[in-house]
Amino acid sequence: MKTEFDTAMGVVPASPIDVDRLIVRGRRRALVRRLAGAGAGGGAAAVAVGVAVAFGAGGAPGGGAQMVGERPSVAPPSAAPASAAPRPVPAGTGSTPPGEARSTEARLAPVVRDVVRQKAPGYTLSAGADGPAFKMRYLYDPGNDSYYGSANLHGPTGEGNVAINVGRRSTQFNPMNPCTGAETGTCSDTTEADGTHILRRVIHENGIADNYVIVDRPDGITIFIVAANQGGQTDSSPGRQAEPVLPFETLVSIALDPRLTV
Amino acid sequence: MQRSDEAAYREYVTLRMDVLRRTAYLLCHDWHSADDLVATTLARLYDRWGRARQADHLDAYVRAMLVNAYLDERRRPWRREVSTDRLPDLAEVAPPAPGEHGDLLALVRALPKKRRAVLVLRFYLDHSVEETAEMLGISTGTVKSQTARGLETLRAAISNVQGVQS
Repeated sequence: MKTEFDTAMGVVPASPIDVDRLIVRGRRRALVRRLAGAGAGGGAAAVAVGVAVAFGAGGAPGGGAQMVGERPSVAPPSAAPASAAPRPVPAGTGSTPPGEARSTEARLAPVVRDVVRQKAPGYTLSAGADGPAFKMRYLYDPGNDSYYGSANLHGPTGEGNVAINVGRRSTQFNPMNPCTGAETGTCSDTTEADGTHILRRVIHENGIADNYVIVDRPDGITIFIVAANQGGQTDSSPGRQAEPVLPFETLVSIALDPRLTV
Repeated sequence: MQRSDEAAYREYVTLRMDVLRRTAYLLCHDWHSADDLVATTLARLYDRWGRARQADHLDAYVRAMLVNAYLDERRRPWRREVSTDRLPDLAEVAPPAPGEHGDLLALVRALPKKRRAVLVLRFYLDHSVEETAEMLGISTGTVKSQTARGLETLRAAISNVQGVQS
């Protein structure tokens, strides 16, 4: 029935929701909570400041509701103009025919390791927070029909986590691409002559740096790959070096390899 | 929230935004309201991210937040005070698009809000009767009866719905 619903909805309009703005707002709310709890008379101050922040940021009163479709007040401009025209995606799941997830996991894991070693020569792969290096696991829930794995890489540019999702774009695997034009940091997306769509995004926050790449290939495969300058999502320490362990060109090169398919 | 947690939050939202928006659309039936609902849910999720990540099933946790935010929104007094001569659920109905799929959406739209939420959780998001009951804070018997009534309505519009069991 999911497919019927997705078909009925048709092409989904571009999202006006800016994730970075949600994060900025969340930080402000957290700051307000800390400030409000810090001194005498905190209760009254909390109400006053909370309302001021909510309205000041363009939100609605009553628990952090966020207006959508606005430009962020604090984010620097994106490197690329917004190009958030909606693109149709197939309804339903596409990454795994029934019963093939385990065999695809087993096939994909060594392929990902081989591709990474080939595209990033000189780096050693070791277990990361998600287990053995690029042990690919099929993640299925509505909204994430893809294979995921990660590894710690150590090499010429330092050390850090690299995580990858491989799937076939559909309504059940539809990472945000292109840029919204409102991201924190730089975000650019390009379309190659063969129709390959590549999004590159840089995030630098408090010593943690991520290079995000989302590639939509003409064969229907979508790759979401992220390189960090530290141990990834479960690591709160600052980076071991300034930049993520792999640069954009390497990440794009990995994502474009046709061996990464499902 | 630590920056690494924010990175996890950002990645989660980037991957799940589309299905959350679609789910919200099935509940709200217009994209503006759906995006407001998703933005509200994600703002709350940011505040509760530490707890959410410890949940056995993060997606179920987030979907429960979304659906309950939708139901809560409709329970607020100022929502009930809107003057109308039509039933509340029908008052928000926009004209359906023509054709079979438009009819399907129109039928879902015409369902009472809780029945609509049950059907979306069961058949769009694939949750079991037990999970749906827990997410909505209702009994499994209520989920089953709401599902049966909802399917009865939808049967007319979906040719292959006979294979779906409540």
